[in-house]
Amino acid sequence: MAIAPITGKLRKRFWLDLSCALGLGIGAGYAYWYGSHLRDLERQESYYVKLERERAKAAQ
Amino acid sequence: MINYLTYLTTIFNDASEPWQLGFQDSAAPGFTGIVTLHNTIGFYLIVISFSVFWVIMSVIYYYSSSKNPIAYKYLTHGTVLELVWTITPALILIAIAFPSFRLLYLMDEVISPTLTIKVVGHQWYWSYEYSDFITDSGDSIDFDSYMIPESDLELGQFRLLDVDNRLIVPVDCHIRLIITGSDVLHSFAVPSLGLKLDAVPGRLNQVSFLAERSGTFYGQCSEICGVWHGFMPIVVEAVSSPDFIVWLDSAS
Repeated sequence: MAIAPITGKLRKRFWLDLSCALGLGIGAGYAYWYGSHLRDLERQESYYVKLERERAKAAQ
Repeated sequence: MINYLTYLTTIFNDASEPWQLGFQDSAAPGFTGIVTLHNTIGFYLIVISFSVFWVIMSVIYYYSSSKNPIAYKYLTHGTVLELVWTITPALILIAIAFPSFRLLYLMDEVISPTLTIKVVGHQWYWSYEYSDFITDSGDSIDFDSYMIPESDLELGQFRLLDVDNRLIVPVDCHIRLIITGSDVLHSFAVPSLGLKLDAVPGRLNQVSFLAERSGTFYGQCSEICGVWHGFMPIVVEAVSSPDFIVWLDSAS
């Protein structure tokens, strides 16, 4: 029996795989960046602002 | 369980904790830079991990023997494919390398230090010398710093971390540490301040830092230096400039 030629893989799977892989990856990466890293930095910055306010208040 | 979950959140301590997973809170711009670089690389790590796992799952699912009984064995090489899988990782490495080098050279800068402190590692304690100041008798201010043994610990002190004499520094001042060893290799490491530098006998290493807030920061020797390597901790206490002057006066 003749074997059916394997064709059209690029069209059928490659672009979908590439889009899903990079899309999910970049989405998760940004979720981590905004949800964890920047949130922690903001918390740290707000603590330093609080310290600075307290220092200014004490100096008055 | 609740305790375990709290380990996954931010650590609110300037000392290491049992089962700690994350970084300690930063107290110096250098350490904030290190954490940012770590998280930047983490971003790439997540993108690459998702991509690789998606492709592996896709291959396992769509190209399994049940779906594709005949293997496509005539694709033996592909120039374009090889170019893509060589150049793409190279670009990713370059994207990681640039911020890494930037931080490395920034941290090497010693910006006109307000204060220079000499740090000497011994088997098995640290000694500190404030060479910029002298006592009434004309000697420089220096002292040894030993770990407090477990039997002498007071409430609130950390086991294996607290010392009898702390290294006192003023906040918001550029401080230069000149680090050396008197006998064998040691390493002066304080995570919250982003410090880790080898103390090498016969060689002076220098590092600069700036404490952004008052606090007590704990570290440990980070180079195997003998049987009591684990019992020569480091404690840096950052105080306000007026408090530092008062301490200096009492120390001299």
